[in-house]
Amino acid sequence: MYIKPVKSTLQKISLFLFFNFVVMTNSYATESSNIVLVINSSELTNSLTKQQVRNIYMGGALSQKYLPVHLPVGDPLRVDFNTYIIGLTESRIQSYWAQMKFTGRSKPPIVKATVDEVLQYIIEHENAIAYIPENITLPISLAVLSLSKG
Amino acid sequence: MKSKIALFLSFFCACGQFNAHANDAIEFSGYARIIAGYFDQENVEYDGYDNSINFSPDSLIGLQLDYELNEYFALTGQVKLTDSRVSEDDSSGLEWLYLTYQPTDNIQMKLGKLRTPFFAMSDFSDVGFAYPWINLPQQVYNTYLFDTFNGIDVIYKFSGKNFDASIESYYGYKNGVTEVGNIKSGLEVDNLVGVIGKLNVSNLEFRAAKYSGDASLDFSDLKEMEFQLRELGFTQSADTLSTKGQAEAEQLSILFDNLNYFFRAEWIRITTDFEVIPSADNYYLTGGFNLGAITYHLTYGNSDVTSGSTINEIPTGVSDDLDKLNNAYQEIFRSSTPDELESWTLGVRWDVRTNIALKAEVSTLKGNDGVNSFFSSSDSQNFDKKGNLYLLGLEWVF
Repeated sequence: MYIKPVKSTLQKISLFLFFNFVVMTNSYATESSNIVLVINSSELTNSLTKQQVRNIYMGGALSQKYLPVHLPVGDPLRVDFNTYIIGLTESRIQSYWAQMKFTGRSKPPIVKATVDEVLQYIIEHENAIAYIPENITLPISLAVLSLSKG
Repeated sequence: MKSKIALFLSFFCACGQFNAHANDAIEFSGYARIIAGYFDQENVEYDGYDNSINFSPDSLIGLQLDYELNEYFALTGQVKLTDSRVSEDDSSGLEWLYLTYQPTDNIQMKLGKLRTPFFAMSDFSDVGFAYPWINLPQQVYNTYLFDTFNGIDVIYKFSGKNFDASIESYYGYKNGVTEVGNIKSGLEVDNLVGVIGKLNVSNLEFRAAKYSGDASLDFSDLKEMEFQLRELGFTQSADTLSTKGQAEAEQLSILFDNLNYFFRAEWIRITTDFEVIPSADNYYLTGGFNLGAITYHLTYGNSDVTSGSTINEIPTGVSDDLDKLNNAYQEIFRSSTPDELESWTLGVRWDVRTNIALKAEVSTLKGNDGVNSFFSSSDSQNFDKKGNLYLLGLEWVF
């Protein structure tokens, strides 16, 4: 897949590839899956732990600094992300956001319909963060980092 | 109530493709629950349910409107439509009306009418979709505390590589009503202050909170009795009926959940300066597991109430008038004894869609003899304070 550079923004973009998943025996995964996390950040030395990514997606302290992006409910990539990073079922996550929303504490991440739209959004927004398939072709200038263990 | 719900369901169904995000600045959303309940004892009510199928005690609709003024400010209003029993505290149905100010990524301030976040689920207790039960554990969530207050709430969030945390504090006042045992009284609370600490580590969440407020009861029977006792020189007895004093609450809870199972526990303590509103230590423990979109859970709840002490100052057997006075004095304490209850609840939740859940649960309830136990019986002599509550529910967020 080719990602079209958008103005000079791409110069600032670093896409951090955080992890390759080796699927454990689990009722929610039936086959191996590979997801990478991408982020548009000028802080090139930054890395994020799994806990920090979880917090970004669950309305924690870092959720205002970053712009988390989801794929639609039911998308296999989203299921993998929920399983391995959030560690909760979609049902539980939805009920959690009902709690956050109706108490005015936080709002859920925005949702983009396709991976193309996700990438386009990341390119256009600094500190946007998302998960995409590992096998997608990324611009050669992008940095790759491992998921930090803290 | 059923007609109100049907009206709103029709409205939203008719809207069909109504876009909740009318534009980026205005967002409309809501929640609804339809709950049917049956309590298996004759001539007894438990939390509004009796031995006929009843929808009204817990069915409701909540509507929320968010208006984002700019990057830093937003306005939010939320109304709740329900039957009068639940909304006695405030007949307007207005649950939230506040201005949010977010000066930095880590600080959020809310100013206006807010739900009181006394316990872990107090401020969203009406949003049934947000928790596994139909009825939140009554020992903690059906106490004599109030639902809303006017004031300011500030949350400061911070995090490390392996944790996420927040400190929340609020300050405000409350004018409303409270029910303690069988007594219903006007209530004013000033200097309501609360502090809440939250810590998330992986799938574990810890919450600890403390609150206090200067409370004043507006209960005419109590005031008249106090006046009468003082006039007759029974000052010690009169002092025990004081209607002004401080109330405090403490809370601790833990939540663990992952893909397959979850565990929750919460403990609260409420203490007051009022002899007629004694202290309570209440808690519940919940465990559950998920099988696909279905969640099964089991909850044990219990409460331990310390009754207020009366003063044996009024001589008995001297005259009928003094005997009547003493009986009336003692009756106030009997009526105001808070609820004490032991319960087991077995429940199931099925997430039919991402915004709709069906629930069923059965609770075995056992009240302690000699105190009120959320039951209201017209035949208290023959009621052993035991019973089963059956509930079916539909939860919806939109």
